[in-house]
Order: sequence, then C-alpha cells, then structure tokens
Amino acid sequence: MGGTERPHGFLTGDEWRTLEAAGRPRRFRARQCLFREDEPGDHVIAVLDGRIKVSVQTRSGREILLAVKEPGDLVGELSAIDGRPRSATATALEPVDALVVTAPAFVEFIEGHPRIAVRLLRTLAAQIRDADRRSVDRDTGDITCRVARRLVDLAERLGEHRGSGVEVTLVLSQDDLAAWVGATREATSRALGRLRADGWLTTGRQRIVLTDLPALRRRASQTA
Amino acid sequence: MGAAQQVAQARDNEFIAGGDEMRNVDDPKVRRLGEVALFQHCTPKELTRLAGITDQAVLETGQVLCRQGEVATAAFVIDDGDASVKVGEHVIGAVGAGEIVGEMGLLDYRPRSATVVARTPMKVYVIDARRFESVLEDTPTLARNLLRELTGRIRGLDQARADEAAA
Repeated sequence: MGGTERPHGFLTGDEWRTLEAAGRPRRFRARQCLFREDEPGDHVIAVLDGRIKVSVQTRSGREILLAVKEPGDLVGELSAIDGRPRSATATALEPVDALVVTAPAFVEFIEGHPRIAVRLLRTLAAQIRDADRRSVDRDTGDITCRVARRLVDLAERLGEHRGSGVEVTLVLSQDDLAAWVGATREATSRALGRLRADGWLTTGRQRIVLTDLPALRRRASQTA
Repeated sequence: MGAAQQVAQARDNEFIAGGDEMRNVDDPKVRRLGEVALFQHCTPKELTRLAGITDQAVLETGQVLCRQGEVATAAFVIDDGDASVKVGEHVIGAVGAGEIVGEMGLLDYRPRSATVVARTPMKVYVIDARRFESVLEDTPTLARNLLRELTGRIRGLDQARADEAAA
C-alpha cells in the first residue's frame, strides 16, 4: 500500500500516515462481511478504496440500508468511541482496501489530534442531519419519486460518470436500493421499471446506469 | 491493575462522578450548561472551560434567535423564558430553560433547519462556534465526551429507522 495516494475526506495526508502507523492494511472481497450488528466492536476501518454498505436488519429479517461508505470514510467508529456493540452490519460492495485500527489505538489517535476529533464530531453531526432529513424524505412522495430521489442522491455522491457525461453507474443491487428507499423489493422494482420505460435509466446485475439525470432530478422533486 | 488501566479507571470514575459533582458547582452558568443534553457527559472542569467562552444575551418577546436557512455561527443555551420553533410558517415545537438551540451549528456550520422566536422575554447563553472549536481543540476530553453523546444519538436514529421499517 506504500506509495499509493490516500483518499481525501476525513484525514489529511499527514494524518493518514499517522493512522497508518497505528493500524494495519487489509483487503476485503466484494460482498465480504466486515462486521455484524450486535458483535462487540474492537476496531475501526478506514476505507482507502472501494465502497461499503452499512445496514441493519429488522426483527422480520428485512435489511435496511443506512449508508454507503466511500474512500476516505470511517466504518465502525461508533463502537470504538462508546465501547458498545456494533449498531449495524458492514459489507463490502466491491473489493475494498482498508486500514484496520484497534479501538484503543483509534481513541488515542483522536485524543492526540484534537482537530481530528473536531472533524469527527462534524461527520457525526452530518450523519444525524442526514438521518433526520431522510426521515422527512420518506414521508413525502410516491415510491417512484422516492426511488428517483435516492438515485439522484446516490449519483451525486458516488456515481461514476460513463459515456456522454450524463450516464452514471451505481454499483448497487435492487435489494440495496429497496432497503434505502424503505420500500419492498417488488415496489422498488416496479418503480425502476417505470423509470426505465421513460428511458431515464437501465438496470443490470448489481448496477444501475442513469442515462438521464436531469429528468430523474425533475421526477425526484415531484412529490404529488 | 496496570498503570494504564488505573488511568482509564480514574477517567471513568471522573466521568461517572460528573453528575454528583455538579451539585457543588456554584456558578449558575456552569450548572445550566451541565443540564444541556449535548454536554451531559462533560466534567465540571470542561463545563467551566465552556462557560468561559459563553456570553449572556437578553431577548424581548418576538425577537428572533436564529433564522431558517441562515448559516449557523452560534448556539444558544436557554437560561430563562421560552421560544417557538418554526419551519416555514408552521410552529413545530417549543424550547425552554436548560435546552439548547442550534447545537449542530456548533459542529458543522450548516444552514439553520428552523427559525426560533422568543415567545416570552428570554435570557440565553451564547456559545460562539469558532470559540467553541478552539475549546474543543485544547480540551480533547471534551471532544471525546461530545463524541459519546453523538454516537448515542446516531444509534438511536439507526434503531428508529429499523423499527419504523418493521412497523
């Protein structure tokens, strides 16, 4: 991992080097589980490459997607901070390169770098705002609108542009999307079908290509 | 018990003792700050440090504490009186003594999510976001205690999300 460039985001280059000295590199396969909800959490994972989904299960066993973590993000920091079990399950969406840091080393790292602690507070505050906003989003609009809104949101944050500049590829299954929208897989699939019929996207295994982002944006804002 | 464990134990004791020690604090400002949920894990020492950067302000009925959409630069701890919380034209709640207004603004400087208007004459403590950040930087334990508070809230929100989906 030596000479590779570190992602921006949570830490600066110097801080990455300090954290690297405190942790060890690790590679995860696509779909590999990094940790499970309710397990004791004794380490933090700093994402260097690849994306990770964070989800919880309802009592009936349905999966609810809480977040998709990208390079530069941390996963598992809640348990490291408060010593409580994992609040969610983390699964690699694609091959992931990461840095694994034990909880005590991580706490020492943030206590030794107050600016990082402040930044961490900011990212947690953003998660709280995001969760609040999503709970408002879920209460408004039909499912097609919510699916469109979620796709636009994901495209802005983690889409990879392909082709003519309006095509955005998302490495996400329909189950993941359903979990994120808070709808059943069937309802989500029907909504995707409608958007596909309008010619705004195409779907494939584990991926969705948005071919007309402006149109999806308009649909996302139609709540009636 | 090794030295490191003893230090950790001492820190935890200090942490647990926070609530009891508060009764002996005679500065009303420190006591008031200690009632705020965001600061509930903080020690009297940390609260005293915070009180040092906190100014007092007085508002008349109808005065605006903060306005939806404006970028946050401070938070307000209510010492006396109460205020309405409005989103657009709708009143969505009220806040009173011992509560904090605009706390997330202390951390992320994002636009205010609501407008808060004094419903009675009010006394508030104003915490400036920049000064707050400098206190966080020189008081690592404060940051850690705030982190604990925020992780608790995120866990609650995540759980609510799962419960809501199950319903």
